[in-house]
Amino acid sequence: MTVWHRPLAEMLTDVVGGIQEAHTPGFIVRARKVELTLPIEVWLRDINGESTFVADLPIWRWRTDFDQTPSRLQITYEEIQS
Amino acid sequence: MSNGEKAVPIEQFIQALQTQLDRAQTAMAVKAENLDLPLTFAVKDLSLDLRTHVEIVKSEVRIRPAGPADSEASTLHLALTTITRPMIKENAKTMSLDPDEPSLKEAVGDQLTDEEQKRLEWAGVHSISQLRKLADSGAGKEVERVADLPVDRLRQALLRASRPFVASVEPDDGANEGATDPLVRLRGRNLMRNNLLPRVSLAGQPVNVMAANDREIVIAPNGDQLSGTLSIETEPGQITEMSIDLPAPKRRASTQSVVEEANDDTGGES
Repeated sequence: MTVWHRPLAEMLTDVVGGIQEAHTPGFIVRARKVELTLPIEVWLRDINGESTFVADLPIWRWRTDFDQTPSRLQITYEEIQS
Repeated sequence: MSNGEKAVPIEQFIQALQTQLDRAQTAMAVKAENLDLPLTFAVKDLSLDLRTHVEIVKSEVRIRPAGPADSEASTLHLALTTITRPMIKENAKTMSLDPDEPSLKEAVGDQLTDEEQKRLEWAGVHSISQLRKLADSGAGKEVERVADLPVDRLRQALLRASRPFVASVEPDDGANEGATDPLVRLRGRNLMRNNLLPRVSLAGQPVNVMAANDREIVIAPNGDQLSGTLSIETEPGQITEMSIDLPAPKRRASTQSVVEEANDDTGGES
């Protein structure tokens, strides 16, 4: 695990939040459902005394013997009223 | 997954995952509000193929990290979905446990090992009342099979858990104005069985029992019965004994010594 890996919430907020922000009022097309299948590297890390689920996209494009074989996360988001 | 080569309980892992999903949801809701967006996204389904080793340590399922180049790791497939509020209510376990009821561990002490207690929890037995209910219903054999716990040991544990236990001894000054003998209240648990008044003696002499229920016995010792071994018998074989030293009547007794003595003697119960 490296210091670059973030908790799952941060990674998801970046990825899905980006799609959420892309919504332009008045534009004819918008995303209503988001399905993601992501390779992720997973750890449990102690952050402020709390066991935190750290899961982020692989840092390097080419994996070495020192890197984990990524796990796989499939997640579906649907649009709801905020 | 890696956590310094340390295996973690699977519940801890799933809770940590759920916490992160909740945080992501909150972050997006806040973002929608700040950007004045009428709509946001919510998780509908999640599936995770996690490379890990699953092992059992002391009857606890733990996940051990699959390290780099660890080709023999298992894949744990987790599928989560969202549920509605009525579904939460429908599936929530009814908490019918008495908050004052001692835990299984407190009640059985060292009669059962940690692993045996864990196996009972696997079978859904978390309290002594649940254990007693099972035994009374004749389901001892089923428990033996499911929790791999011999019926005899289960019976011994129940016997131990059913022993009377006194947590405090207090003279009842106010309620006995004008009476010959001072009243003393003994508070604890398992102080009455089968609706029969317990037999109480102090320093080898019988003591009048004025009232009793499962949590309290009110006794009226003679004026000269102030110290010695207090013995409470709720049914044959279910006896607890402890030394007490009551102060002069109409003063509040210090129960500290009683509790300490009880704790010294087989972990709080004798």
